[in-house]
Amino acid sequence: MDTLRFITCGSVDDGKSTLLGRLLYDTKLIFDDQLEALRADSRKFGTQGERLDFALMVDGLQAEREQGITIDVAYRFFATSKRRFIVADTPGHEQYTRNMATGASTAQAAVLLIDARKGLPYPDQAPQSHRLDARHSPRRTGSQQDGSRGLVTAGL
Amino acid sequence: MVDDSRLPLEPGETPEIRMIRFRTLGCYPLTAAIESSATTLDEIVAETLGATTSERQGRIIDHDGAGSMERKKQEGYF
Repeated sequence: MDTLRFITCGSVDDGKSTLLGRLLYDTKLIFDDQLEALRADSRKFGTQGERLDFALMVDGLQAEREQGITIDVAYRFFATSKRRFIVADTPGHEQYTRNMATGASTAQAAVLLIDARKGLPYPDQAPQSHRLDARHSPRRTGSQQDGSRGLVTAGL
Repeated sequence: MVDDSRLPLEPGETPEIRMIRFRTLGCYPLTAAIESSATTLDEIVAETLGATTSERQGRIIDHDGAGSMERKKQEGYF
């Protein structure tokens, strides 16, 4: 079975970790005990009020939880009947760009997340400058807009 | 397990024979087992495929507050 390695990248607070946590949740890849832990963590560290904070599925370091940001690269493995996935959730803060590059160095594809409500942080820079070379990707990753956020439909 | 001083019986508790299986390797009082009737590799695989909990479900340290492992590393436990 094919394995696709990809990353999520983009500017800070545009929802990269949340997208991944949500993806795992919606595809029912979170076990009962993990969901229970997520509920408890959301109550303690969550930024979503009473709702589940899906970013906490991948932001596990104490410093990440206290600040509500991603600092280190977090890898998650999951599989569907068609393909195995190794996804790296990478930080959006400029000061942690090096960590993003670490995740990108072994990835075949990238999901660049842009919060359409905020637009690009540096409009004068073309988004192509952030685009990874996806030559090795076995299949093109499509995307569609869902509300204000891009939602991945990566051929799962 | 009855003869292990690390796991003393509480008042009122009596030993009971049950068929169990450990899903992860480790020190058994902290690793926790699950009830299982699997006796062959195929049966274990079948149980694992249908599991609704992760293999760490019984790990005591995971219930020791968020970040307990990270904190223990910083304190030099490892």
